[in-house]
Amino acid sequence: MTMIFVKRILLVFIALFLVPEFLSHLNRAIASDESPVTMAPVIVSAKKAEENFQTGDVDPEQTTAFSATITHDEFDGKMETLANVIEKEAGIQVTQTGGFGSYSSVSLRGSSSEQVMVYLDGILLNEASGGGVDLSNISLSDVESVEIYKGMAPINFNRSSIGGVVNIKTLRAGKEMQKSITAGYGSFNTVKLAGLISHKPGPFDYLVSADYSGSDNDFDYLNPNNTREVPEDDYWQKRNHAAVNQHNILAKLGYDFSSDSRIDLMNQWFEKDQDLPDRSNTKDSNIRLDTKRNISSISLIKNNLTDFQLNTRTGFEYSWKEEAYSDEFGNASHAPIDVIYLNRRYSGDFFLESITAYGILNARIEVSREEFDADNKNTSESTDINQSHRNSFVTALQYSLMLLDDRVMITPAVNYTVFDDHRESGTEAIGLPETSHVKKEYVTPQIGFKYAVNTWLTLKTNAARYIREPSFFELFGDRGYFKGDIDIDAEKGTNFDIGADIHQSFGKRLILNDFRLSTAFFSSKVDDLIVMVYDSGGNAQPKNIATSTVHGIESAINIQLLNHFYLTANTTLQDTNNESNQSAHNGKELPGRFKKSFLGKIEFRYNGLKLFSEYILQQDMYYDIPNLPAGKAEDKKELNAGVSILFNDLLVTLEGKNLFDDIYEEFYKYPLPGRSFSVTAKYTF
Amino acid sequence: MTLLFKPCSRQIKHFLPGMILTVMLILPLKAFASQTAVVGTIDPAWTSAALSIISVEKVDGKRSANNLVNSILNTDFILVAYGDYFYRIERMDFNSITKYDVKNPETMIYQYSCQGEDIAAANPHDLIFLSEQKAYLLRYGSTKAWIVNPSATTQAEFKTGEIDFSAYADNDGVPEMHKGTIVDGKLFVNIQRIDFSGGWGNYVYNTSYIAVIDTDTDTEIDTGKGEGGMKGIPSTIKNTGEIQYLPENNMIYIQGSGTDGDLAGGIVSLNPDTYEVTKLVDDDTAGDGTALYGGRIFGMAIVSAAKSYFVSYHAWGDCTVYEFNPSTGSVTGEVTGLQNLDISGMSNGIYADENDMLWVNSGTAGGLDEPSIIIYDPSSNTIDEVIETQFNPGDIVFCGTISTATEEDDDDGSNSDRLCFIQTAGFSFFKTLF
Repeated sequence: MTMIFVKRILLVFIALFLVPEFLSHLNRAIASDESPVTMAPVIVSAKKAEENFQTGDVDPEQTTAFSATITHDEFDGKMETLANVIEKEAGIQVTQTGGFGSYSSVSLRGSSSEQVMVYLDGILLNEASGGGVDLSNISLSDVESVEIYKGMAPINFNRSSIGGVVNIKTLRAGKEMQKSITAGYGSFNTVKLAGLISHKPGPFDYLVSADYSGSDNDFDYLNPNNTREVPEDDYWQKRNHAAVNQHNILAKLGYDFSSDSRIDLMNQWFEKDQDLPDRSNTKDSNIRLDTKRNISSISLIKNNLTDFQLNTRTGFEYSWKEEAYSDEFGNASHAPIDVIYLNRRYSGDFFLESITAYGILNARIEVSREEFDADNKNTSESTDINQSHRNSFVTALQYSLMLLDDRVMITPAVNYTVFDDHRESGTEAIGLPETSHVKKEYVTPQIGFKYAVNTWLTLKTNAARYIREPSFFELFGDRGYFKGDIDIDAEKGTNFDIGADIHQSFGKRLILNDFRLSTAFFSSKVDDLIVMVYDSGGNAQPKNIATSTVHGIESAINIQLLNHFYLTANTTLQDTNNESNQSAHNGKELPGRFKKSFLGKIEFRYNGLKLFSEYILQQDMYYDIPNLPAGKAEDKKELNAGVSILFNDLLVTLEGKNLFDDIYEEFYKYPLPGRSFSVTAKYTF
Repeated sequence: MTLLFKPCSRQIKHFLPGMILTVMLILPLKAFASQTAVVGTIDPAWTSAALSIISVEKVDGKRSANNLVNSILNTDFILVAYGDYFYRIERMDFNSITKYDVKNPETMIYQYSCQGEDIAAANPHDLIFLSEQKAYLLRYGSTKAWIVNPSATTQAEFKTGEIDFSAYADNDGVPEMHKGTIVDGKLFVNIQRIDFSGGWGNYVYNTSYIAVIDTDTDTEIDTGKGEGGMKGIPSTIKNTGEIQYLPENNMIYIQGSGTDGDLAGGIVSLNPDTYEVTKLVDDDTAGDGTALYGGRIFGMAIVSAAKSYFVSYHAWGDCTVYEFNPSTGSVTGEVTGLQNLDISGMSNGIYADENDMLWVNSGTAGGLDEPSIIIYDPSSNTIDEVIETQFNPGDIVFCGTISTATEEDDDDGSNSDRLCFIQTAGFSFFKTLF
């Protein structure tokens, strides 16, 4: 079965690969024809944002979606993590279980982390086995930019979801040779070492980036000594067993056959060894999560094919991830655990872009297969659990109609998705083997509208329907007190947003040099929300028993003053509502979402000097679904500050984080670190 | 309960006439006192929990309920009651005990840690009262039970001693002491002996034992029934859960839920004097792996020597109450109106109050729309009242004094750990002194 499908994927891939080649030959044949050809008038209105912009990339400025882009400069030479970087944007919330390298998940506009699709160079990192993407497994050292599409995303991403898309773009080689090394050290024995070399001297280019980072994460926190109601017996203690060490290597090769034809190969290896603390911070625990991941891709870009000026990108990706989780003494789960989770994903995709007189037509097809296997080392092979696989087919069509000299953009799109899920092994409640098969297909439309009223005001609105398909865990899970349900349906979300971008530059002679405001009202309604429902025995099953609604306003203001001061203020105000069949949950706020978030940042830049300080305030969150008084989280307050100095080719950054030393728990009983300091030096050759 | 006054000294006897008079004056007042039920309730998504405080009434009585009281961010807890006080014992990851007065359930009297040594989790599972000053804390994750003073005013005063059950430990190093009861000066401790060392999917359910402790000396009694250095009584059922004493026939009843793949559960009786174990209800009489009552037996409520109840877990959210005769072991059958409900599993699920009314949990995964407690009247075999609890009901304990009508039970020194009978004041007092 597996081989047949692999062959099918290969056939599709080969076919897809040959299509642009065929079109290319066709183009040449047409071009060589002696008879004159009348070319269709072509207006290339799409502005390529970067020098190395490639077919298939998204230019956030050319979509109707509300988005944020964080560029390399903003985190380069700092001891930052992806979670730290993106949580500062409006409409985005990150939840972490601890210090550097700990599990971090992202929520966009009140979504769950599973409702956010995370891509690395267009390769989907979400797994069919379930759970949101752990942002701590993505190193920032080789990241060029992070694009965040909230609520609606262009079809360049094969799949979007109810929350939106986070797209992490890795570095690309430029014409100038880049060579740099970075070293950093900080509190809790946190270490960062990174090196980069890249060059594109001609048609051939290469890039190699490698980094190591690690931390003991032995920060001080107040242990309640099992008696949370009795502060008198609390005591300060080092966080035990939270050390992390990770390595990341990115290698890229590219070759330009011509100005319209290019091949890219990429391989990224990531490895993380992680000790996990238990909730009681036991000294003698031994809980570990070791992660290994490899992502490989090859892509062929063929542009300006045929008379229709078709641009194409054909790709094949293979990703593999192994997570070895062990709990030697059963500290976290009552009994010892030693399990290896293995995920494999094969996919082939074809992207087509046609730029016409009145707009841009995009089409995309992806065929993929994901395999999941959980190898319980405590059981014999015959009782192995949860071997599952998902075959999926996704196709999407999008047209961006440009009117009134490109001042108006209307972008309708439709996605068609088929999921074919199989469980190959597992056990029923009384130990009998069980297999299951679920096939579902979905059609989801979306439309966006953008109107540039004048040079400084742009209005945008979007409406989209997305799904979040059930994971293997929700469909087939049979671990402990959990039992999957093959009858559950996908979550179905309807998103709407409307807002404005205001941007005006006033020149360097005035007090106010530059002003930028982006504000949006957003609304999302999710039907068939998948909720874990427990019976009185503590046995859980997922059920489609709730609807959730989220309404909110997000705003981001950026101001440049006196040529050297940069002010940023991001706010998000959102109301979430759980409309559940369970009366205990009905009418309550969704757990884990702050109702109010605020970030204020001030920077002073003068030549090579940069001073910065930022304050983060997040309020009104519940840990529990029924919103009981005990479940109300405290406000999160964080003050960070630092200085960067550039001496010729050496950039030195000193940072202080969480200067209030506020020990906060985003997950109940999992404290984040208090005050910390770090110094980082980056030398560019 | 004899032991309530066991430490009496010669000085006490000087006050004898006055004390007798006091007791005689108080007893008639207590005869009209009633219980109050404290129900541990769990959010259907298991993200938080609270309490419901419900009045205990006789047949046709309208019970008042105060729901969502004293919420916590922990769903893994049990309740124990003694007199006017109830104790919330938070198990794995929290390892604490918190004392409340039922008249003021929002305000804790104390909260003490049960963790002790640096182990994964002490995971306290039960507290069995000998008196207001002495109780036994069973710690599932440790080899040692604690002797504690429930009236202690400081953490340092709380633990007063230890009892070592390491002889019952299997490969995982701990014996899994689960629940207990005190009968006639002897503490009977239900020891599950589940070997978790193989990890998920590979648990070994060893022979469960009942260890017997002399509460005068706090040393283990050698029953002569055990093997391999274990002085206790081997059980004929595995994965033992509830343990309840019925004074009416001087018999202890133990329920076991067996395992998914091995229907080795059921209900046994244990004679507290002879230590003889008799299997009364077998969940798999034919021994062919077919559950006789549709599933594993999870909960049990001993109401009388002629009529008692157990819960069979059929499937997710689908449990049914069966009636059985604890004297003969014969199973009468399913109880009409108590079928296909979300009753039991982590908690016992069925409980008898002072009026011998059966309180049956019903969570939202079962047939009812709202989480509720069904009050069932065994005397008429009818449902007396259904009380909504907003969260799924779990453990139920009954606080407060009990009417003297049941005090005939107490002259044997019994203590039902879940039913906080302070039924000792009269007869025990006289028995001790004379």
